[in-house]
Amino acid sequence: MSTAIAHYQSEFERLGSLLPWQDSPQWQEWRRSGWAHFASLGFPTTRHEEWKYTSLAALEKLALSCAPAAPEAPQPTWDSLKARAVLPQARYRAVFVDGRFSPQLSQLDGLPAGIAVRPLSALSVRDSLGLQVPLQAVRARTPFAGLNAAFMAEGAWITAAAEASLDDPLLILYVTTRGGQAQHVVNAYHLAAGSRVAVAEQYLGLTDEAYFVNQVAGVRLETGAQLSHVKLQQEGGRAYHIGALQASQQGGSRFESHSFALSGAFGRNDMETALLEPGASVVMNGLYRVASREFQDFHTCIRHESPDCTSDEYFKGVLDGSGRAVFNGKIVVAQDAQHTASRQSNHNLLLSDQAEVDTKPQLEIFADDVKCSHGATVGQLDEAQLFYLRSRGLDPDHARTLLIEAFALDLLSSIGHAELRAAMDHLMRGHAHV
Amino acid sequence: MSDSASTLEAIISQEYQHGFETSVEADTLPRGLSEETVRMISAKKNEPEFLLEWRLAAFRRWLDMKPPEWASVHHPPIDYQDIIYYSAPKSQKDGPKSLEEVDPELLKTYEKLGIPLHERAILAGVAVDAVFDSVSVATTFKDKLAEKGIIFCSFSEAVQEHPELVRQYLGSVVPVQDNFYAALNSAVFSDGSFVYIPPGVRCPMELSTYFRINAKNTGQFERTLIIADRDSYVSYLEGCTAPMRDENQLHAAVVELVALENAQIKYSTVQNWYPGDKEGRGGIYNFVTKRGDCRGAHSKISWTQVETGSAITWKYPSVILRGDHSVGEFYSVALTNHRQQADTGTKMIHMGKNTRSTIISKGISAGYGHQAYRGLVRIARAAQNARNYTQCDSLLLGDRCAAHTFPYIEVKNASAKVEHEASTSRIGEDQLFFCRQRGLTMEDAVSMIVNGFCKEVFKELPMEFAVEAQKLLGVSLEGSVG
Repeated sequence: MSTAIAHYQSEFERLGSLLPWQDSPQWQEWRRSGWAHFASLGFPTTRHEEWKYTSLAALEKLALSCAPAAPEAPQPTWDSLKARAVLPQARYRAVFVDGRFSPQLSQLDGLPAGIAVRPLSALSVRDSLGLQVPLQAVRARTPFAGLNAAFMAEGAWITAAAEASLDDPLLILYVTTRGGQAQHVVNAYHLAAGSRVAVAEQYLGLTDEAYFVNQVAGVRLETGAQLSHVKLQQEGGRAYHIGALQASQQGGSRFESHSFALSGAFGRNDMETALLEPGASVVMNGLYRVASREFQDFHTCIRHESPDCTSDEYFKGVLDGSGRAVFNGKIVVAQDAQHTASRQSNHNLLLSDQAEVDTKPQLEIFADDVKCSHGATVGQLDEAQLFYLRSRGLDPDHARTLLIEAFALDLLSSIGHAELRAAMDHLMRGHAHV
Repeated sequence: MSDSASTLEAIISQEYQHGFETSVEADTLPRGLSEETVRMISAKKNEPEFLLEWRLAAFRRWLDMKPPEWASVHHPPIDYQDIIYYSAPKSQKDGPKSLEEVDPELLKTYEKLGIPLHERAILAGVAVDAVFDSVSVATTFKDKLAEKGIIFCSFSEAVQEHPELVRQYLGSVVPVQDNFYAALNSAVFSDGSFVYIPPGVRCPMELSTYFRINAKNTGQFERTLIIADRDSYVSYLEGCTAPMRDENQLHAAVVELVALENAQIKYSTVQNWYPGDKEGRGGIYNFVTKRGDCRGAHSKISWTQVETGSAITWKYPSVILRGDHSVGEFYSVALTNHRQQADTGTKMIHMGKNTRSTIISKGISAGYGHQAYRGLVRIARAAQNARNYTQCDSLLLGDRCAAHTFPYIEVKNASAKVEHEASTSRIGEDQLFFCRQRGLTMEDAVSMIVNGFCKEVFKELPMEFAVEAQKLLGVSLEGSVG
């Protein structure tokens, strides 16, 4: 057993009794199998195809505590967080500080009928079991999803009854204020038939010390349900963020996922959705931005399991300094998924000779009556465009910023939810300066 | 009535045109592979010491290697001890100096295959280095080529007469430890072709070789080495057919191309080995390592392939763009029908400045065929202003076939421009309807659309190959529409 595994093993033994729902045999089994999954796979190495360009060596060396922050730890105030929040005016918000739910900072009163947003720590054993439905598939997605299943203690549980709708977007904010911690957080969404939810998950690092956010999201959309989802990573300069998301979509449902990895030393996201019944559609978009020595990695998979489903995937990357990024987008079209329409593209802007991008758009198609396409490009700022802007009197820096902004902001137009789009637009404009 | 019915029957059951077998007495080693086998092959070919050492080093490396499992192809494990590693036609021992001395049985075989040997060779303007099983039998046009200083001969001959060239270049593009099959080939390769184009020479004719797998259970381990010296040009054609048989046959060839400053190599392949029957029984396993090295500035290597045969194809003709301003090209049409599987693609490794590469890959999958494009475009840190354009399209015929795309793109230089496009679709109903209402039969309509789909690749083929390739696609697709 490697020292890293041994460390997490001792954490698992130390914290076992402190984790929620200990007296439930279902949860005991859940944690045990999650642990077994992680322990059997261990930290993947670059010899593993899915981790070919992604080295975890540095993370493996960190001995991080898996215990949630002490409740008496000093808390930031909402006024101080507001300036950084993507939805500063959010009517509903769930705020977590160092892996622990903060009732003072959160605002969950007056949710529309049929909509429930609850922190995991507030769930009774009986209420908690519903979580296993959307999380069932994701816990074996990666070794870290297994580790998360073993340790999960906090997060948000969002449910919508049939035809209910949450149009004012919900903000779920995870703030990290100190290093040395491994947070295993969970977001679970179960949207009943015809319901509608808009949400922004934001991960904000306020420390330059090393920490690790090991996050998992499970999404289940019943017939005709719609989820608009924004995930925003603004982690600290020495932070590790590993995320896994798994969605399952019933007939006519729509999942709009927009990921923005804007900062953090290391980021890795494994995202997968399965289109299980006719008429389901997914938009899976994202932007990764790396500078200095940062690293971001997106592995996505869209499974067309049923006829007449559509998927659109659009990822962009802006790479500067000695930053590195990896994109691996897989589209699988099952044998009977006729009339599938699928588009995927990945565009990368390289701004520095030290930067590196490795991209692999992948198609696996077993049905014949399909229209699938993918494209990938790697390029740099266009000299002619720079010249044009400079000839109009812009200084080089400004011209450059404008072009980078144009490249990145182009993604935002695909965010269907107007308020989320406006919020992201506001945030990105302040951030385009690389 | 019954007569015409049986004629029809005969035509339908005619599965593979080139499935005949010539019975020539062969000088064959016993099955199995050991250091002894390698030594015997080397001794039989009267090879110099360095080559034996090289083979042995490869063999020792091979022992520690495992067959690759990452390709999306499925086949039962291969028993490498159940293969005959050397088999030469007996009549070769006397060393025929001219066509008259060649075993008439062999000549008949070539005749059936329509190889332009003999006078036809002169008419067709093609020099042929025909490989029958493992040893070259006859080489024509040698004198004409020799006038210009071009060396075009069998590999064994090159070993005897130009050992210094062989020693300098052999394994310099595909090192022995490169991969499992390349290591195996390096240990036991029997023969192949050798080409050397001296500086400043433009090869006056297309060089061509026909491979043919004969003698049961003989895996063929070809080794081809082409060196284009400064400012030279050569176009090389490779075409294959194989007799029909039930047992799977292994073919693990290695092709190495070296282009020095300003040199250009064009390598075209039409591969039509026995693909197995409709149920997927039999057929050739084609595990080939092909790689070109643009060693000099302004050099160019261009691969064009039409892959319609073989039960399993595992093949990635690649170019290392080492020289500044060098150019790499890959044009491919791959067709899988019935139970055929193909995992093919290319690697473009950009190392020099201002290097360019183009990849056009067209995959057609029918019946239960499985096909994957697997490519790598790597822009190294020092490769300033590298440019790549990749397009890979797949066409699906039938609802039980599959097409996969695995393009790897690795960019470490900010001045690089890399573009990749891929699409997968089936033949449009509207296109078919248009052709049908103009009076074309279903099969002709499909054939026409498929040929249109492949046009960009076919136009890169030398004329006579292009015609052949179009016919081949039509024949290979028979029975896949309906």
